[in-house]
Amino acid sequence: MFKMARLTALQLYKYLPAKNCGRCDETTCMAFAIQLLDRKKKASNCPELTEEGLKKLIEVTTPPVRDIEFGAGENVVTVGGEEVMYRHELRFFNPPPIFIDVSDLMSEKEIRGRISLVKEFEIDRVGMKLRLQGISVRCASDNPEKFRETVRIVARDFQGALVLCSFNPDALSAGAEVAGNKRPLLYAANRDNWERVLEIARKYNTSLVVYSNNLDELGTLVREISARDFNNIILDPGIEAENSGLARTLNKFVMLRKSAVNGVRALGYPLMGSTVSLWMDSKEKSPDEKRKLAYYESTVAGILLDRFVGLLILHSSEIWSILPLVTLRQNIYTDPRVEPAVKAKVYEIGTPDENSPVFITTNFALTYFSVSGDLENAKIPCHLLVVDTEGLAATVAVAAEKITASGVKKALEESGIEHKVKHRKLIIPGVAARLKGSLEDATGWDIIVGPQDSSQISNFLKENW
Amino acid sequence: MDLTELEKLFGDADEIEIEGFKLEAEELDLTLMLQAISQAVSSKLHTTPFKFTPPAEKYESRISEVVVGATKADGGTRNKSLKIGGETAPPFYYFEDYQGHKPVISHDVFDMPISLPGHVKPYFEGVMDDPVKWAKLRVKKFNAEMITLHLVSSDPMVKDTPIKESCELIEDILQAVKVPLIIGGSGNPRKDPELLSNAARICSGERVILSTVCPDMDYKRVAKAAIEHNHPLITLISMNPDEMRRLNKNLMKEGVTPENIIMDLFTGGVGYGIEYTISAMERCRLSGLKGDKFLALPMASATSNSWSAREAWMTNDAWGPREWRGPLWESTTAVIALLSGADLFMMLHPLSIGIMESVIESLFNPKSLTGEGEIKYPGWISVDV
Repeated sequence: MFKMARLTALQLYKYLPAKNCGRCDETTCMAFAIQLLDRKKKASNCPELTEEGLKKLIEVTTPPVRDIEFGAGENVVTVGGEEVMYRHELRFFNPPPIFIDVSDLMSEKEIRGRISLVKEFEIDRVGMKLRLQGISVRCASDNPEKFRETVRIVARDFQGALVLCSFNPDALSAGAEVAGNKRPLLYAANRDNWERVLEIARKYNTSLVVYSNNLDELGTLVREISARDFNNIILDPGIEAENSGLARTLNKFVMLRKSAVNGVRALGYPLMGSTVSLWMDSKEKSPDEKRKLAYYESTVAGILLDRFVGLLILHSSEIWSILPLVTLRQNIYTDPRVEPAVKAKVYEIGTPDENSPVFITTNFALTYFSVSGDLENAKIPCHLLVVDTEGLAATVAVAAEKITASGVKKALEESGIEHKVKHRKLIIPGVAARLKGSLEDATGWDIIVGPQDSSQISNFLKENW
Repeated sequence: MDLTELEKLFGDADEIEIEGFKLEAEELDLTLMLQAISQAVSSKLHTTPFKFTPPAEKYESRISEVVVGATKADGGTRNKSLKIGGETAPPFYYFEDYQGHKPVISHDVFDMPISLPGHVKPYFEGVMDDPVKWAKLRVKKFNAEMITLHLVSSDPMVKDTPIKESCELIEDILQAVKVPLIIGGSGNPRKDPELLSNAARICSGERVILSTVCPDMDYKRVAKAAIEHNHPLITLISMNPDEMRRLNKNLMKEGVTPENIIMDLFTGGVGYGIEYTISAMERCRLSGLKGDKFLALPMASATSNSWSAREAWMTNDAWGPREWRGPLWESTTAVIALLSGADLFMMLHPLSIGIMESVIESLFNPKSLTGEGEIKYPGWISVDV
């Protein structure tokens, strides 16, 4: 097993048939090798490999933390596939899917509410949609029949990915019977039930979770299952969130990722955690205490997202507690080698004319999307001049002097905005107020200092334009 | 032929059928090496049990220790002296024998009533137009163990408060509260050197932290004052470890020691650059531990920056109540900075600070890390809620 980060296309090429047949939709085997490196293609996309050859190629392109799949059709979920401990060493690859907790002891109303949450939750951010990935159903009753019914209800109303949770194989079997075609992730195999859970996983061609709080036992269980030619495994080392348990949990996750990256095969699998465990003995708590619990759950989930978790099961359905997690997840999993910047030029919002206002902003992607979004929502036709600040946001760009008078002057000239508007009024971000004087001197335009945050633009224009 | 050769020959076969076997002997002496056979047989049925070894690595150097606040014994008037830094491994990596000082939270106080979100203001009712009252409230009501005095009004673009006036305020604060202090300039590179040098003089001997120093200001002037009056300082470089290294090196050339520098790589809130913060801080901390003395320094996080995130201050029903959302935005940012190596936090909201304090308590100096035996966790399946 190599770490993909250290492989070159040339090294991968040696495992390919060198026929340049094109059946993989690439023109040459070298091109295919490059696609493999970028993870845009898989080893199985090459139809010309022998069985042995395919096995070898898969072996060499398997990352230190394997990528594991479950789910069906449009709702296949990929977990893991990681190569490094720190994102700056390369990048992280698969944003951890988040599943919302449902139990067979909940009322049907509660269950429907949670299904709606997962279906409808969608946050627009930097041109991407942040979503929840599925529902996790657990057999809290320990009654396989009851569990089956609950899974049936969920599977009927919800087409997304599922996790079925019980340590009782009869319950897992019952649940899988009515949801098997969705290839639900099975939680979980432990030292007592692993043979039966493995059977069920094979039957429904899906993946399973192995749980043990003891890392010797965890590795041993994985070895047993792996020796039976089954590697669709996700690991759950357990979470302790009280007192020093948090430090233990953190260390477990760190050690497991480091072991995988160091090449310990028995631990080369993605990790998961269920913060539902924080909600034990909480039924009688007041609404305010429950919000505090949701707050703490979000905090622990955030710690896990930062430190190597590959899949999360959350209980809280409060949007405010989920929002920082999906945002943080997006942040951590962006490719650090790519500057999130948009092109520096004039963008037209709506249909502006020669009298429409001219705003300037930075080319940091988030800034651009926030500002243009606010302008669009305010229904203000205007010209938005994006200035190259090397991908830095407004406040940072001002502090680092990446927005300069000469830079703006150049942007104005190059954009041709002077031919598009009759006036010479430029609205600058509120945080750049200190540049007003120097900008006026350099450009000859009237500089109007805009609001601190672009969400205030609508009000601002009413008063000032 | 010995049995191990036989074992090699037959590999992991279940059954061996020998054809055309003919044994001719006067005397047949059969010795069965049962152990070898049973091992050959058993290795097919069971894998060897896995033994976990903590993947601990050793780090070449230690992060420097910075003392904040001087008590009477050390020439100051603070009630307590705090130490930060001193780490021997990445944040809380106890399996790598992590040792270090407990991270500290400093509470924000501003020298003028700044615009705060509507759900934050109530906490500072009646004190926002009096920094002395504000500082006292922070210490008495919210148990602040450090205060940051942000001299934002000194900015020529804001109120251009005269140095003399800012210094008088600093003196009042020194009298009013006895916790270690951070003196924060306005960020104006032309005024701050004068402001911070004067602050250094006023606070001589107290070991207040002078915040911040960066390349586009007369940092040498601030360094001189820091050395003369014995204060640590914070270097600020936005998200660029190479530039940060250069600045620290230049400061050390001026005679500032590693025991007097804290680095701030700029904390972007969740959704507003936190990933840059994570990577910049992790790179610096790892470099420092691996022997780079210009980066083997404690780090600061101005986590209250996260309040500029609209998710923190904006009223938006689709996002849930901001009374919970806002503090969570700040504390999530803080926790991530903590895991990235932050030793010193500048924070705003009492709820966020409270949560951070308990997270730090939980992560710092755990009584046991082995935690043998079963844990409650598997019970999550049966949670009735």
